[in-house]
Amino acid sequence: MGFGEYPAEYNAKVHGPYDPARWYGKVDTPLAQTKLGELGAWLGRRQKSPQAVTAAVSRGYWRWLHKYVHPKRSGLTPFLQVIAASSAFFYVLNYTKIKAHRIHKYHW
Amino acid sequence: MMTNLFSSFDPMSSTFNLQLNWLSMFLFIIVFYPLYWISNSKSSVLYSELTSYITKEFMPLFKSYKNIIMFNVLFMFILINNVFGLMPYTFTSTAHIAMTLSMALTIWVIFMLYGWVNNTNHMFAHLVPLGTPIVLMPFMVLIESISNIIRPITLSVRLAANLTAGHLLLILLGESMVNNSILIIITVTAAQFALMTLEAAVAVIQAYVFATLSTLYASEV
Repeated sequence: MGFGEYPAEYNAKVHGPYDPARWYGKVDTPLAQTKLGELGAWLGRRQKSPQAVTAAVSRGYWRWLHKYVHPKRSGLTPFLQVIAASSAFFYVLNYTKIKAHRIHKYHW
Repeated sequence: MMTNLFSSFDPMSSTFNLQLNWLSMFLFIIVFYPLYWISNSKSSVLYSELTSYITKEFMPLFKSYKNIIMFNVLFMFILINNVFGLMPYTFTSTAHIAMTLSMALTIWVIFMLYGWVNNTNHMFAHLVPLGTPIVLMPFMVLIESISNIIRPITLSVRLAANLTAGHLLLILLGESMVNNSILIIITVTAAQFALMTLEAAVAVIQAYVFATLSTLYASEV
């Protein structure tokens, strides 16, 4: 699957219009329904190539868009989620520097 | 201890010893939502209204919409970077001269190269404003040349200095609240509320100013 191409398993006649959030490959047990003993085998069946990981991140992003951004009456929720996630991400990234602040005990 | 007043402007993250704070530039990609349906949702109406307002502002200077797209995107990029810089712990990438100068210098060099190579006489004519007395013409040429040359510097420094100054004021006020009476804390917090409102306005205005001046410099070519 090259950059900007459809997945190899996608067939317009069978699946209809392309949905970037959907997995078109072979159906497997969802992670939430996998038994603990089968977890190793489940993880072994995952594709771990850079293209596969990028595609998975892309599908996750589109699922978030479908759920929070594209509904007609979505509102402020996606913006607040992005702000919260970016604040948390940069807090973790700069934690050692922030901990060393002289006035650290007066803020998070 | 906070060894430096400017520590929040430091792009070096404490993990991996890399300048990972610059990743805040990519929030622009996450926040500029790709569309899926024909009708807009409430979240994408914000962007479409903003971009159509900016397009209406810039259209008189250009012949067709395809020439405006770059300035639309420039405005949105600087706006999103400025606004996210106001959020807790998020790095302000446009407060750095490295970022603003790379944008301003690129834009200015493009217009100067295109203008002077293709429309040399037109560019020379721009150095003397309409209605200048003949005696003043040599001085006007000098002044206009200098104002032209300092354009990338003014464009970049205006944006970086505005954002840095605002953030710095908020940091200084925050530090002065430490170990003080409750009255000082309430006063300083009220002042910080006012400054935060000002900073939000400055974030939008500076993005608008940067994009507008870029379109003006483009229309002069």
